[in-house]
Amino acid sequence: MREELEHELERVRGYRADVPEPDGATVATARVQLMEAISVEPVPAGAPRRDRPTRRRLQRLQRRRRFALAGGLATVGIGVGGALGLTTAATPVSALAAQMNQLANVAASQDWTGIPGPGQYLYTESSGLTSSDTVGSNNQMCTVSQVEHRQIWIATDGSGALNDTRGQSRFTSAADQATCAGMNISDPASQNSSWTARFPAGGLSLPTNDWRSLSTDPATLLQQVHQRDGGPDTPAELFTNVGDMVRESDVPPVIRAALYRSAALIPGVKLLGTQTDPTGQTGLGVGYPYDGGQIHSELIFDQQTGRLLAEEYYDPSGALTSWYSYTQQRIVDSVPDYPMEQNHAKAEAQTSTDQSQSPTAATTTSSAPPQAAGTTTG
Amino acid sequence: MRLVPTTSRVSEDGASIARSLHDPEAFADVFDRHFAFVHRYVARRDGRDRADDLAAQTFTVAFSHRGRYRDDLGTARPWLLGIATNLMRAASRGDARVASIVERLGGEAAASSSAASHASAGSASEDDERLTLALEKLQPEQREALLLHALGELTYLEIAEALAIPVGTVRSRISRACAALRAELDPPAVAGPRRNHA
Repeated sequence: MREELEHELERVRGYRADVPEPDGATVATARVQLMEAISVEPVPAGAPRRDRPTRRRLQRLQRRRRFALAGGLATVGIGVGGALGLTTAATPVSALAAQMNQLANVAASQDWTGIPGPGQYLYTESSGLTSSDTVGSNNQMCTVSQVEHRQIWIATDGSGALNDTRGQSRFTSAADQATCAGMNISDPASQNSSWTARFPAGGLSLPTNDWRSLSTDPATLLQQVHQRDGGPDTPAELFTNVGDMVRESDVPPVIRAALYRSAALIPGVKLLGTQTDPTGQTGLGVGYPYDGGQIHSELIFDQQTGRLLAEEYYDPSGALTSWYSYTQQRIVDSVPDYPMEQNHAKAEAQTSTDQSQSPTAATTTSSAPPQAAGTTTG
Repeated sequence: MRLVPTTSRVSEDGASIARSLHDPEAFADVFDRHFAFVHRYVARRDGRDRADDLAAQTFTVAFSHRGRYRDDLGTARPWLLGIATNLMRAASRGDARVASIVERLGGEAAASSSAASHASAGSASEDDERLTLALEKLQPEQREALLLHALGELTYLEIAEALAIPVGTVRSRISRACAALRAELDPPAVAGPRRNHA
């Protein structure tokens, strides 16, 4: 009887076995639909502050800057289904391509980070100007600009630690100040924050970065990264995807090099030449513009080592609204003994958890946030 | 019945979904891990024509209901396939309504809902065609349980969770489905006429 059951089950297991997995275009289309559904979800009352731009605090692989939120970008639709409109090998080599290729060669030959071994972490330190939003009960939003100092340790299994401190909070306009006052936030310093935590495997990124599955062909890699990172099918989003893959990342040199070459394939990317970030670091700048040509976002690379030095973001008038300067990156053998991040500590202690409760971030207020070197108020 | 989790650790899916309650984009991790499998399951079950839409819809529905997710089984796959199953049921009811309207209007009787989708599945093997017809004849709940086990690779426990039915019911549905398939595909030999012993 059992054998007969198993015989039938085996027959059904082979049913339409030739049906393949979905192709890249199908996956990308479905992902866009999901991200659109996510983007229209109403923000719950009293929701935790939402970073802007969306520099994610936990999963570095999920850091995405929503170009769609900034109107007026050169968001030429490139069509769902794989036609990313990339430049081809037949396109004359531009100054951008030549510079990115040179940068790629430097990156490929460098082992300035290496890959963390067992028990090791990639440590990245950065400082910058960011902003955070607090959403009120009527969906109004109180925005403050903040100076951020960030230290992150990430192992290849996604475990690590984070020390993220935000201070010198200030209102960015009279309108913001009025909105915040309506939400009983009259002192911007009340928005200062500090978050220190350790994370178990998978807490800071996927346990396996699966770099091995990525192609070293720039055009193919760009499509793979876009499928992984998501976002609209636009050149602006492709530029975002590249940035997401190289910040605070142990991406192998050969893949980093391919990413740099792929940036030159994205329509609309501009070569900006030598740029200096607010902390004084100088490097090669490439950027993506608004429709009118004003640069919206910029990545600055160290031409001696190939690493990412800084990111800068501008409003349509050309004012610098946020920036992040990566001042240190190296392999270390330990992390500070911060408390385990609250979500994971709570989940590990329980055997039957009510998942409907929203986890709370382990955020504490710091009374004396560190000063970021070369701080500007943009 | 609330199942006792087999592990005290939160799974990757559980962690992603928990984070997504306050950071919605974290849900994309669940998509990245499971979309290909769900899509292929729907395509094998209901045909490739509808797989794109149904699979995509599975994740948008899952996202909107993520507050109800329970990480008892350590993976979101049963939950997702349960949602896909409900969507396929709804799609089938829609097809049946269309088929009955066409019939009333005097057109050709439309094939049954799943047979119509099976026609576009793309497989031309004789075995698959016979199996398609045999699966058509199963009671829908038996067919669902059987395909979740054989194609969805879910255990009986996971099917019970996905369909919100007792494990014993899963076991009996699959057993009866297999018996019905066997009777349809390998009918017992019919006794021949008696020989004349002259």
